[in-house]
Amino acid sequence: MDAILSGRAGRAVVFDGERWLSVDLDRDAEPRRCSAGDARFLLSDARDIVRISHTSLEAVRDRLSLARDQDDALQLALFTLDGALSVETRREAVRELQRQLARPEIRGFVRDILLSHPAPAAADLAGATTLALGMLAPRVLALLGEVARGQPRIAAVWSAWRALAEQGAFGDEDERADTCAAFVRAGLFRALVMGNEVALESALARPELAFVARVREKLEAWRRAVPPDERPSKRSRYEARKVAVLEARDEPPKIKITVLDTATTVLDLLGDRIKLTESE
Amino acid sequence: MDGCGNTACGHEVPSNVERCPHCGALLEVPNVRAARQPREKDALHERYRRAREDLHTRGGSATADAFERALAGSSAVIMRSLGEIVRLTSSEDELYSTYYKLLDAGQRSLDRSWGLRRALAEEVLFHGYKQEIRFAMLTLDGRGPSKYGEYGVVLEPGMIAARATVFEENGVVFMMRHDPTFEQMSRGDVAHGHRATWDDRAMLCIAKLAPHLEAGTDPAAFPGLLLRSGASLEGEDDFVEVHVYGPITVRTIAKVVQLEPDRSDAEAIKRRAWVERLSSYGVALEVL
Repeated sequence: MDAILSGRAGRAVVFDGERWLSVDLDRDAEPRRCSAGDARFLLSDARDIVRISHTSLEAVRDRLSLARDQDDALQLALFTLDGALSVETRREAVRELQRQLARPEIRGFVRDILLSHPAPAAADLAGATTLALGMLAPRVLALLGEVARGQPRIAAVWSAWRALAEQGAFGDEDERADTCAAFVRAGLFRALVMGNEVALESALARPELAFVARVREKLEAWRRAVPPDERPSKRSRYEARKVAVLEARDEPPKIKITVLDTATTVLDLLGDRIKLTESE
Repeated sequence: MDGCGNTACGHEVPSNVERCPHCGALLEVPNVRAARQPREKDALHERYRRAREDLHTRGGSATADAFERALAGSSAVIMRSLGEIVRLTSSEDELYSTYYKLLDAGQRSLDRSWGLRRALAEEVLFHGYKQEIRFAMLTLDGRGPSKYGEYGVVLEPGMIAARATVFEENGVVFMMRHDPTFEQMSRGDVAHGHRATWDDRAMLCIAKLAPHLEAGTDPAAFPGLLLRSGASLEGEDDFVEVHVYGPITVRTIAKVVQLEPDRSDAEAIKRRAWVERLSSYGVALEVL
């Protein structure tokens, strides 16, 4: 039995060798028979397609449920970062996101996405951090802190990817998009950003990469294109930040710097004490 | 092959192009050109004439007139989950589009997996431009079958009128039912009189639904007549399919209709955020 599913649509279409079936998490207790005609309306515009081979209905249902929760969490994370939304809506998003991030597979998914691409200018990281801090939402704070601190490295990894892609290393436009999505979902971007060799190796075994040709070759080319990580260690960054803030207290003009950099400063100061930052 | 509308040119052009390859003139979009072919229009007019005649014989002319008036205000609706609507309506927003694009994949896998029937049917109906077609359903009340999604995205008629056509039913189901020969498909000799331009949609609906109209049919029954859930033999929905050429963005949307209550806290937050963000585009949420 093969299946195609979309967490965003909350729906899967299954082909068991003879019949087409649709699975809707909320609507039907049992899969509903459908046809090729139905199929294009069921998942036609979905972009977050996941394909599973040699599976069972129970496994499809489980995978679909997880995919939907993961997509919900991603959207909630984007709402927390959206400065155009009302504070009340962003608070609700923080509250629900804090609950959802308790599950490692959801936390990992959201980190995989947010650590893959430099935060766009429209992302209100400082505002989101202030909200999460006020609501004592440690998992959300940890996520935001990781995204804020990781920006220089995320930009370096992303630039290397884009440069290679423009040279045609990942195929034509469609193939490039598919490969990018597979690498993001498998956690390769995050592992490279974090400089985590163990995570990189285990990501290579992820099923998301099964449809990518010459995956190791592509990964190696990409790794070679990424400049070495010259960031100081986490501990020394923390110390440097702490000194900067303490200095700023004595010299009023420097306070402005810490305010502009709320997301990283607050988290770095608190990080080691209340373990806001989760290790890989 | 169609003819270029530029009187100084007038040469034949391939059926799938947007510009004349000879003079560069912008053409009508391919699906609209296909519906305007004389053999298409003649066949549709003939079906419509016979349907009206039948209704007249049964004393249903007034009902047909009322149905046609209602159809003049019909819209195209796309049924989607809230998550997909958030993505669709965030295409102009940097924060959302940046991260959503990272997950954009699988369309080719989807095309391969649906099998040959769909691919064949769509290649015959939209030869050379099937990837440009977005599918919707014709509706009188903003509702569609909720098995495809709990929200109805109603498209602004003015934004699609020049690039939308209507078709008798689900195109794949139509092809399976009529089972045209290879020779017919090769010649494009399929489905004449079963498609129409947006402006002629009432004509197609009368031709299709006349047998279900009676003298004294209550206009309140019209929406359910136009779009029926589980009406076909295989339990499929029966509707008039709308084919929209080209992209659909938040600016194409007239309103969104919520058919079912929120299923979770996350969904309630998504809906609330969506309403806040979309108010600037003038897109309203209607809860049924």
